[in-house]
Amino acid sequence: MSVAAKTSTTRSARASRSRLALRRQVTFWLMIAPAVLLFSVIMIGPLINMFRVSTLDWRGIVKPSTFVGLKNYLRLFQDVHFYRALANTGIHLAVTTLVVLPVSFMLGFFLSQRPAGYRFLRTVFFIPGMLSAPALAMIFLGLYLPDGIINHYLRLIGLDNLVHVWLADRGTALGAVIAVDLWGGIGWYTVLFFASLSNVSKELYEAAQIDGASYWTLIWRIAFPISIDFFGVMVVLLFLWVLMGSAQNVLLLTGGGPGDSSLTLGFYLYRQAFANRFLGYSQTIGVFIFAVGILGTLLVRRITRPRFIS
Amino acid sequence: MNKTKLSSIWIILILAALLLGACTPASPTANPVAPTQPQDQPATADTQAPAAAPTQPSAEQPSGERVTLNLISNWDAGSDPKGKVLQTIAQDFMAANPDVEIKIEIVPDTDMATKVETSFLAQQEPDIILHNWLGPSKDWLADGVVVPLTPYIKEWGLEGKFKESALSDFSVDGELAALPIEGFNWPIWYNMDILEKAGVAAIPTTWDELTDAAQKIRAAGFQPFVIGGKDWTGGDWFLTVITAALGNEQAADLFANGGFSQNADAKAFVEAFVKMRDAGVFADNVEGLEFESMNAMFFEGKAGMVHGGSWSYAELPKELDGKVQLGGIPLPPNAKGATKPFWYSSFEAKGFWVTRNGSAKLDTIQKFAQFFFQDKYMASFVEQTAMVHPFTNLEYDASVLSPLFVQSLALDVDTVEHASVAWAPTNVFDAWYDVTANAFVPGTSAEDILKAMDDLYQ
Repeated sequence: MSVAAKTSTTRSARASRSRLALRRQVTFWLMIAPAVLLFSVIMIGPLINMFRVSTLDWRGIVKPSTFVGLKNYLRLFQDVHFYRALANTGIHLAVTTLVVLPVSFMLGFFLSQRPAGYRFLRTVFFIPGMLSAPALAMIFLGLYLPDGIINHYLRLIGLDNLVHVWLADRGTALGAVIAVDLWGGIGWYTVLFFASLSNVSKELYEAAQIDGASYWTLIWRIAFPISIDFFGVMVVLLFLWVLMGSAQNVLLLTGGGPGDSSLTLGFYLYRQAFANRFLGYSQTIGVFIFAVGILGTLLVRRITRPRFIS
Repeated sequence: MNKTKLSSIWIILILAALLLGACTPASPTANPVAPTQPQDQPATADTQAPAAAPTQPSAEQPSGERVTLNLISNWDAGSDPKGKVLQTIAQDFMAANPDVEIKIEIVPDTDMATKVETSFLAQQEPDIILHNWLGPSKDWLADGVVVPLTPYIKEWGLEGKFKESALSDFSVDGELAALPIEGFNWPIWYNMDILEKAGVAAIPTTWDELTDAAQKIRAAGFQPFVIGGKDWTGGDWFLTVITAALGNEQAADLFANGGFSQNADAKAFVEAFVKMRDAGVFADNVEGLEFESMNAMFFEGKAGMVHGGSWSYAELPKELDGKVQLGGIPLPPNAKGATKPFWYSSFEAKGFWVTRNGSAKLDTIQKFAQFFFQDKYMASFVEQTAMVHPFTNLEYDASVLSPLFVQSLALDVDTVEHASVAWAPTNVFDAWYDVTANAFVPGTSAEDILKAMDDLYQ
C-alpha cells in the first residue's frame, strides 16, 4: 500500500471516529436533555432570583424592596456575627468531616467483611437515618438537659465537676450540636460505605493478608484507594450537609446561642430571613454559602480524584 | 464527554437545589392585590408592597350561606388556659349561630408574622388574627394585611368598652388596628424564703441593692436573679430598663435613629449593666437560659428572683404559694425615666385583628366580635387565666383570682415604655434580641454592646 493510500485510510478512520464521537455526544445530550432541561428550569430562575434578592433592601415579604447594589455584601464583610458564624461553621465542618468519615469508613469496612450479626448491625447503624430532625433533637435534649441523662450519669459516678448546662454553656453548646451530627452521621455514612465496599473483591484482601497485611493496612492501603472516588463523593455530601443543612439542629437545640457561640452560617441565614426579616441580607449570606459550597466541592473533588486511572 | 465539565454542571445544580430548597424566600415580585380594591400604590420601589387595605367593608357573603370564619391564635386549648376560654367562646358562638363555623388554627407567637404574611401573599390569610402589637404586626395596617377597625367600634356596639390607653396601644396615626383583648404587667418576683435564708431584709429597689442581694443569695447557695438571657425575656428586661435609665425623650431619639456610642447616658447605662452582670447578679449560664428554663429555675425554688410577666401568675406552683412577693424592677444608676422601682405594663399582649379576607365577611365578624367581647367571656379570661384586661368596666369574681394577680394590682411602681416596641423601627425589632442576647454573654464589653446597638441602625 502506498503512503498516499495509507494516509487516506488513516484520515478516513479519523473522520469516522470523529463522526462516531459526535454522534455519541449528540445522543448523550439528547438522552439527558429532558432531565437537564427540567432541572434547569426549576433551578436557574430561583438561583438568579437569589442573586437578585441579595442586592435588595427588603424588610419583610409584604414590604416593598429597594435596590441597594452591593451594600449587603459590604455589610456582610463588616458583620461580626457573620465572622463568628463562619468560624463556628469551620469548626463544625472540620470536626464532622474528620470524625464521621474515617470512623464510618472503618465501620463500613468491618460490615463489608460480613461478620456474624452484620445484618442486625447494619440496621442499627441505619436507625439515625430514619429519625426526623425534631425527633433526633428531642433525644439529645433528653441527654443535655440540666437534669438530663448525661448529667445524671456524671453525678452517679462522682464527676459532679463535669456537670454542665450543655446547651446553655458557651463552652459546650456548639459541641453539643456537633455531637448530634456525629451520632447521626456515623451510622448513615457507615451504611453507605458498607454498600460501596461490598463490591470490592475479597481476593484482594485475601492476597494482602497472605502477604502479612494488617487490618489497618487493608482498610487504608487497599480499600481506601479503591474507594477514593466514592469517598470523595461522601466528603462532598457531608460538607454540603454541614454547610447548608446544619441550621435545623442549631434551631432546634440552641437557637445559635448562648450569644453567638453556636451560630452557624446556615442558621444565621435562617435568622436573618425569618426572625430579623432582613430578606435581602439573608440571601447575601446565601450567595456566600453557595460560593463556599462550589469552591469546597471542587476542591474536595480535586483532592479525592482517583489517581491510578490512566 | 468532558467529565469535569459535566461534573461541574451537576455540582452547581445540586448545590443550587440544596441551597434554594432551604433558604430562598418567595420572590419579591409576588404582589397580591386586595380582592376588593384595585392596586393603586405608586411603584416607587423595586417591588411594590401589596395594595392598601380597603377602608370600607367589601360585599358580604350571600345571606343564608354557611360561613366559615378562620381564626388564628397562639392560644392552644390543649396547653393554655386562655385557649380553653377561646374554645368555649367559639363553641358557644357556633351553637348560637349554626350557619357559622369557627375554625381555629394554632400558631406559636414567634411564627405568627411569617404565617400571616405568607398567607396574605397567597390571598389565603385567616379572617381574624388574635395577636400582639409588636414588631412586624405594627405595620400590618399600613401594609394592608388588616383593615382599620375605627369605624366599627361604634357600629358593633363596643364604644366605651375599652380603656382609652388600650385603644391607643393598638392605634397608629389615629386608626385602630385591632381591638384590645389582653394586657400585661411585668414585675420582678421575689422568693421571700430564699431572700430570708440569704439574709436579705427587704426587696431591692436600686441596682446597688440588687447586686448586694444577689451576692448574699449566691452565698446562701441559690441562684440570684434568673432571666432568659438568650431570648426575649432577657431582651425585654434590658429594653425596659434602658428606658428607665435614659428617660423617654432620649430613648425615643436613640431608638429611632441610633447613636448609642456617642450618648453619655447610654454609655453609662451599658457600662453599669456590664458591671452588674460581671458581679454575678444573674443566674449562672444566664446567656443560655430562655423562658422555659428561667421559669423552671424559679418555680423549682432554685433562684431568688425572676422577671416574670402577668401571663405566668396562674402558673405559680403550689409549693411557692404565699412565698412570692412582687416588686418593681430596681432602679438603675442615675435613672431619668423612673423615680421608683418600675415595670413595663401595656395592653399590647393580644388584639383582635380583622384581615383583608375578613373584610369580606364583616357582618359575620361583627356578630362574632359582639359575642366574643361579652363581659361573661372576658370575665372568664380574668378569672381563669389571670389576664390583665383592657376594659373600662368589667365585673368578675375577685375571690377566684390568682393571689399574684391581686398582689400586682396593688403594686406601687412606675410604668415605663419598652424602648424597642415604642420607638425602634419595626424592621429592627427582632434584631434587637440578637444584641441583648450577646450583652448577657460574659466577656462582652460595653463597647461591643454599644457598637452592636448602633450597627442595627446602619
